[in-house]
Amino acid sequence: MRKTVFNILLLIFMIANLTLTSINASGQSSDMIEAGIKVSAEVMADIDLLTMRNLIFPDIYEDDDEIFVSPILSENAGMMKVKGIPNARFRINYLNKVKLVSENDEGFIFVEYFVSGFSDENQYASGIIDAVDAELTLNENGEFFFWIGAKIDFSQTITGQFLGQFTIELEYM
Amino acid sequence: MKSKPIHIILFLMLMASFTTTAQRIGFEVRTGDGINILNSPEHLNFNRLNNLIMANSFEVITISLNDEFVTVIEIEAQAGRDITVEVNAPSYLALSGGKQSDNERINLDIRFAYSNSGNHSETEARLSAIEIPAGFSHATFPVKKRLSSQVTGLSQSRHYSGSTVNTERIWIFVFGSLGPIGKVRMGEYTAEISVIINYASHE
Repeated sequence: MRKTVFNILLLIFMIANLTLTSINASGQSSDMIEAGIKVSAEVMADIDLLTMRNLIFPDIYEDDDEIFVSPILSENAGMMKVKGIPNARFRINYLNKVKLVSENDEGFIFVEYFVSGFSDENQYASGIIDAVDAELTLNENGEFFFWIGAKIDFSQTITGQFLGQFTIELEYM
Repeated sequence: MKSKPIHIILFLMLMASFTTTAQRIGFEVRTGDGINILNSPEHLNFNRLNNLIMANSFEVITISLNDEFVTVIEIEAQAGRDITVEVNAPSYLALSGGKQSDNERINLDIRFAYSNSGNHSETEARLSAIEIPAGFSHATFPVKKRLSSQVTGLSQSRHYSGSTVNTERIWIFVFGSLGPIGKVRMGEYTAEISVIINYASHE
C-alpha cells in the first residue's frame, strides 16, 4: 500500500519537470525563423540653376575704353536663381575672365565677370562671391540668388558684334 | 482484502494520462535544436554609402559584400543538417506615402551571400562567404561546410532523442544595388525584405 503511493508521486514530479523544460525551449528557437530587414534611401532633389534675367550691356560709344555693370547696383546685371535642398551647403565655381572674339573675327574684347549672391531676392544686400570654390548655403526654401555683372575692356578693339556666355558650376558639399 | 482492487484502478488511470503528456514533451524538447538568430540585423541604408543621393543623377549605388554597410544576420543551427535561406525582396524601393507611380520608384536589386565555414567572427566569415548568383532568391547548403573528403550527398535530416546535438554558426550577408536614380521625386524610399531560414527537407 505505501509503495504504490510513492510511485505515483514520483511520476507526477517527472512530468512537471519535463513540461517546464519544453516551455523554455520553444521560447528560444524554432525550425524556421524569419528576419525582416528594412531597406531605405533618402533621395534629394536635384540642384537647378535658372536664369531669371540676362546680363544687358548699355550702348557703347566710340570714346569708351571700358564699361562696367555692377552686380550689386545695376539693373542691367544678370540674375540667376538656384533651387535645391533647403539649408544645404553648396560650392560654386565660375570663369571670371574670358576673351570674346567678334563674329567677323576682326576684333576681340576681354570680359571680366563679377558675381554677387544672397540667400533672398535682394540684389542690394548681395555680396561679391569668389570665382573659385565659394561655399554657400541655400535658404530654408532651398533657394539662393546670384547677380552677374561684368567689366569689358574695349581698348584693343575697333568695332564688332560679340556674343558671350557666362557659365557657373554648382555642386552640393 | 476489500480495499486492494480500488488502488489498482486508480493507478491505471494515472498512467494513461501520463503517457499522452510524455509524447508531447518528447517533440517539444527537440525544438531546442532549432535555428536561432544571434544578432539584431541592421537595416540596409543606401545613404550610409552615399550621403547625398540625387534625383536625376542616373547614379547606381551598390553596396557590395565587402562594404561595411552590408546587413549581417548571424544565426546558429544544428550541425549536420542542411538549411534553406530564402530572401524575398521587391524589385524597387517606393516613396514613403507615395502612390507608387513611375517617378516614385527606384529599381532595387538585392543579393545575398552565406558563410558556413564555422567562422566565429564576421570578418573571417566575409572572407569565406559564397555569393548567390543574381536572380536567385533561394539557397540550400549544409549548416557546417563539408570537407571534400567527407561523403557527399544529402545530410542527415532526422535526429534522435538522446543524441548530443552540436550547433554551428552561419553568417548571411544581404546587400545590393539601387538605381539608376532617374527623375524621381525627393523623399524617403523604402521596402521590406524578408529572410526566411529553415531546415531543408529532402523527403
